[in-house]
Amino acid sequence: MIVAVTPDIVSLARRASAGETAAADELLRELEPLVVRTVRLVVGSGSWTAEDAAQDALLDIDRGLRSLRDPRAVKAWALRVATQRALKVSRRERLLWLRRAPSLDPELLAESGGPETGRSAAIKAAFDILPPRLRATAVLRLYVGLSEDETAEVLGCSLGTVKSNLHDARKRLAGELRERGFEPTTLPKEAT
Amino acid sequence: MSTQNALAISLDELATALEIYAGPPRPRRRPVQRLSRRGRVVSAAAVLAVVVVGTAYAAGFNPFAGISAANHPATSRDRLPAFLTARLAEFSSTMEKMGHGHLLLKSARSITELPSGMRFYTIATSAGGLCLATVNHPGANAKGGGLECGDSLSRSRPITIASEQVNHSTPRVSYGLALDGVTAVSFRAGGAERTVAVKDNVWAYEGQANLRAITVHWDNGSTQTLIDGR
Repeated sequence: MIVAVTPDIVSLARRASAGETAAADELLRELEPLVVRTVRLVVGSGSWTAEDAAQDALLDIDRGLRSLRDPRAVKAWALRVATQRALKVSRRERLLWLRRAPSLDPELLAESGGPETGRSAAIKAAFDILPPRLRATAVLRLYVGLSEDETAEVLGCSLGTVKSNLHDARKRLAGELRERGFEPTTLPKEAT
Repeated sequence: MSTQNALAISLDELATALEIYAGPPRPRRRPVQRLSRRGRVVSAAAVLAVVVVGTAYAAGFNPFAGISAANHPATSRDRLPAFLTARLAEFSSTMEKMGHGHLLLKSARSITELPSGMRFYTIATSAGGLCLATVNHPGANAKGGGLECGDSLSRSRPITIASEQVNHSTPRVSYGLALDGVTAVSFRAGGAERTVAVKDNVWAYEGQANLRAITVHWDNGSTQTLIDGR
C-alpha cells in the first residue's frame, strides 16, 4: 500500500516540521510522485490545470510542514492537503471551465485520452466528468490504495459516504461506458 | 454475479485506467516557468515574440481573417457577459505567463447563438491567436463558460474542434469555428455518419459520442479529411 509509512519518512517529517530545510526538501521529493499523481487524477490528467494544481499542492505541503502535528501520519496528512487542493481546483473548473483544448498541447495528449478510441480512453473520458468528490474517492481507494477507513479520514467524511461514493462512481462509469458502446466488465466476487 | 455488480464497472478495471492516466511522477512546468538557463532564453524569446506579434495585431493583423461572422464593427451585442469578462481577465494573465499573449477583450465579437441558447464569441490574443469563448452550455450554471485558444484559421486548419460535457445528465456538445467557405462538417459519432451545417462560421453537434473521422466540406464541392477514422 502506497500510504504505508516508512521510518525514513517519519524521521524526515519530524526533522522537517522542526524547521530543517534539507529534510523538508528530501521529504517533498519522497512525497512528490504520490501527491502529483493523486492531484492529477482528481483534477483530470491531460490538462495544464491539473499540472498547476499538482505544483500548488506541493507548495501547500511545503508551507504546512511546520504545522504537522504527528510526523507518523505524514503521508495521510499530505494526501489530505493534496486532495483539498485538487477538490478546490476541480470545483472551480466545474463552475467555469477555462482551458485549452488538449489537442493544442501535444505534451499532455497521452494523458488526456484525446485521440484514443479504446476502452480505457472511454473510461478516462467518463471519469473526468464524474463529480470531483467521487473522483477523489476512487483515486484514493483504487489508485493510492487507501483502505475505506483511511479514505474517509483523508476526505473528512464517514465510512458510509466512502462506500456510497465509490459505488456511485462505478455505476455512473458503467452507464457512460454503455453509452460509448462498451459493455462494463465486472468480477463476480469483488468487494464493493 | 450480483445485480449490483452487473451495473457497475469493476474495481480492477477502474484501477487499471487510473494507472494508465496517472502520468509522470513530477508535475510538468509550463514552458515559461522553466528555470533552466536555456528555459530563460526561450522565455525571453517568447516574450519578444508576443510583443512583436502584438504590435502586428495593433498594426492591422487580423486573427479573425476568414471568419466573416466576426468581422463587423463592435456593437452592444458584442459585449461579453460581466462574469465572463472577469474570469477571462484572470485567465488572460495566466495565458501571458504561458507565452501565449493576453486576451484582447475589446476585440470580442459575438458570432452566433445556437437554438439551445449557447452563445459564441471570438476573441483575439496579443500574440495573434484566436480564441472561441462560449457561454450558456447545456446544463451549465448561469456563470458557466468555456474558452479554447489556438492559431488563427487557415486552409490547412479550417476548423477548430472542442468538446465539452458539463455533467452526466446533459448532452456532450462538440463545436468549433469554421473558415469562410466551409459549408459543413462530417464525422462518425456513435457508429453513424453525421453531417452538420456551418452557420455563422460555427458548427455544433449535440450527442454523447466522441467524434471520429472528421471531414470538412468546402463550398466548391471538395472535401478535406482532418482526422482519419480508426
